[in-house]
Amino acid sequence: MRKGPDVFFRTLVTPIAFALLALGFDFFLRGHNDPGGGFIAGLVVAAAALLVRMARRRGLLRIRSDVLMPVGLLVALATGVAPMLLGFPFLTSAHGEVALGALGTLKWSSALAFDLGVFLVVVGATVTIIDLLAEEGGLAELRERVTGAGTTPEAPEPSEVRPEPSEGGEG
Amino acid sequence: MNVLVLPVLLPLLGGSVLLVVRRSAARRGVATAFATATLLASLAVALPTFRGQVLVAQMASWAAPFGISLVADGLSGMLLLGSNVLALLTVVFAGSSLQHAPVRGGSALLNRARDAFGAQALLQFLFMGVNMSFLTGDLFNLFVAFEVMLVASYGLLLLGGELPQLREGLRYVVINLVASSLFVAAAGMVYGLIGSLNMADIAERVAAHGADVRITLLAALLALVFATKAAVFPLGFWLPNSYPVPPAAVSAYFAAVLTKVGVYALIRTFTLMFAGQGALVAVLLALAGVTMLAGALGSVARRRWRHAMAFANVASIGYLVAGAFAGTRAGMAAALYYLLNSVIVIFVLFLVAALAERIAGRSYRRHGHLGAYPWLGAGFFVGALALTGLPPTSGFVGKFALLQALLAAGGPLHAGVAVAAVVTGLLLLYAVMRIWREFFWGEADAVHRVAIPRGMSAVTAAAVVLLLALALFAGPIYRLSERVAGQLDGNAAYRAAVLVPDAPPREGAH
Repeated sequence: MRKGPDVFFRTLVTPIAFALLALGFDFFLRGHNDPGGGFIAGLVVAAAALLVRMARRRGLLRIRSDVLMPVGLLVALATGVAPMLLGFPFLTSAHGEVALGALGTLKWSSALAFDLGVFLVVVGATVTIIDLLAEEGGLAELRERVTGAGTTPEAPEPSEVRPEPSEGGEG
Repeated sequence: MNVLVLPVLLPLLGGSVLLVVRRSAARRGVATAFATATLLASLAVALPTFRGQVLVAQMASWAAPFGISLVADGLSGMLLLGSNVLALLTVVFAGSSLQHAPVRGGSALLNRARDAFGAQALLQFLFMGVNMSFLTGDLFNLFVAFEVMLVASYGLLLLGGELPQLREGLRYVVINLVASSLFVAAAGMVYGLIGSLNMADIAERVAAHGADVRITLLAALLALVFATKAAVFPLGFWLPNSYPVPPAAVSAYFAAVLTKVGVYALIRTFTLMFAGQGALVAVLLALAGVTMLAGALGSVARRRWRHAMAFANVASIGYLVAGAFAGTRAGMAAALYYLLNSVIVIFVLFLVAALAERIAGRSYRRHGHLGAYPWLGAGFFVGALALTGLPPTSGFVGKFALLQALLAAGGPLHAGVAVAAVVTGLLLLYAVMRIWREFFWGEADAVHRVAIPRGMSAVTAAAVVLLLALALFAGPIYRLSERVAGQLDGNAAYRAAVLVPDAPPREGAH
């Protein structure tokens, strides 16, 4: 067993991860007019997930991260398709303001939902990659899980397949 | 005109859904359903364009030069319809072949892993990129479409992780990354010099700009990028070794469609955006002649099924480019008809090669299979005739029209390319005759019968029927090609449809 992560690192990770999550949230919201947006926010949140994984040896997310990719794609797609159902071209966005009394006005834009889809795809993809690289034998485990390789132990491993002789050596 | 966006959206939706479907049989069903829906959507786009209409959709309600336009003229319609017919066949073939052991690698586990790791989803994303390439009216969006297509193709090429896949995949990725960087740089420079990325707007502004060496250089840069994608000599060295590497259905679709996307982009560049670049067109015409010969010689030299067919594909790219850049309307019409022929014939030959590999391994030097597999022989025979351009196939119609157009255009360069086309035809004939002699003909020494999965043989038969239909309906299809070639000459309808004067800048939605 390797030595565990440093105690300072382990302690500091929680506030740093929270700071990163807050930063990601800020990036996500301000992306409509300023630098930021779903993509950047997704990377920042994925960085928080990476830190937590390094410190605690387990993932930040309690759900399967690879499901976030198709879900995010579908959210983004739905944002584009919704105006088509109302008779506008694909991806047409709407925006407006809501008066919140003493709190001022809240500006909203339907493009935010598209950004949410992008955010989910980026977080899902990045965290999945990190998780697979972090777990020793994570890739082999995933392969077993999805192909059900355990049921056919006699089948040879794909990686042990004899390499083909190159084309040039033939004719 | 929201129907225009469907051929892009449906595969995207299909790919996203396929990522969450866990059962292999369900994945097959979903993929087939989405490919069928996409085919119907592209039929709905293509039919009006065949009547001469140009369909336009402005994304997100932004008017033409500012937003992204999707445009479908006759050329887009033809290619969209053709590629989506093949997409459906590819999905069915892949669904069948992924259930069985691959030719290489021995165990069915490898193909189960390919299926489980999203082969069908990647195919849908590939179709999305291809359809978007044919429909987009924006140069930068064309780059995005190419990237979608390429990223999906990287995945498909490498999925399985075998040694030849990794070796050839690396080369494929590097070449395409270099080409993509040049593409995005060129798009940036076009915007810097011309001030627009909308293709129709670029055409207007380039015409107004007048002769400028910088515009010629930009056109040359774009030609370099698209010629690399289309595998025009000498930029096609990466193709013949990398296309035979992925599973059969994928490599058939790659060879049949992906290179043609490069040819499509070349046609758009030099008929619409940068029309009147005579010197560059002449260079491309000359290179087309060399491409034919190089492809045919490679096809003669190779001993493996799919490698020989990949070189035959390079030769057919040469024919296409020669027709498209002959500089006459007749040449373009011949090229468009030949394009349909080439797409289907290469698909047929790759599928036949895949079945033959399943029977006797990757080399075609195994005698006497005609007796045991007469229908496979028949399919190969039809494909071989159409590839070499012998009557009564569609290949003959296409090549005859092409030679006629080249000779009618006059000039020593055109005549030289016509001679190269004839020589290439003879070399290809030699190549396919040798496969016929060495695989199908001769004494059967220990031919053991292999059961070919029914889905695979059905798809191959369907592709052969398509090829025969192309010959049977050569009249109407050729008239359609002539009409589309007329549309491409000047592109007046395209430009008028995209750039509506005094359009309200952004309507509705507020």
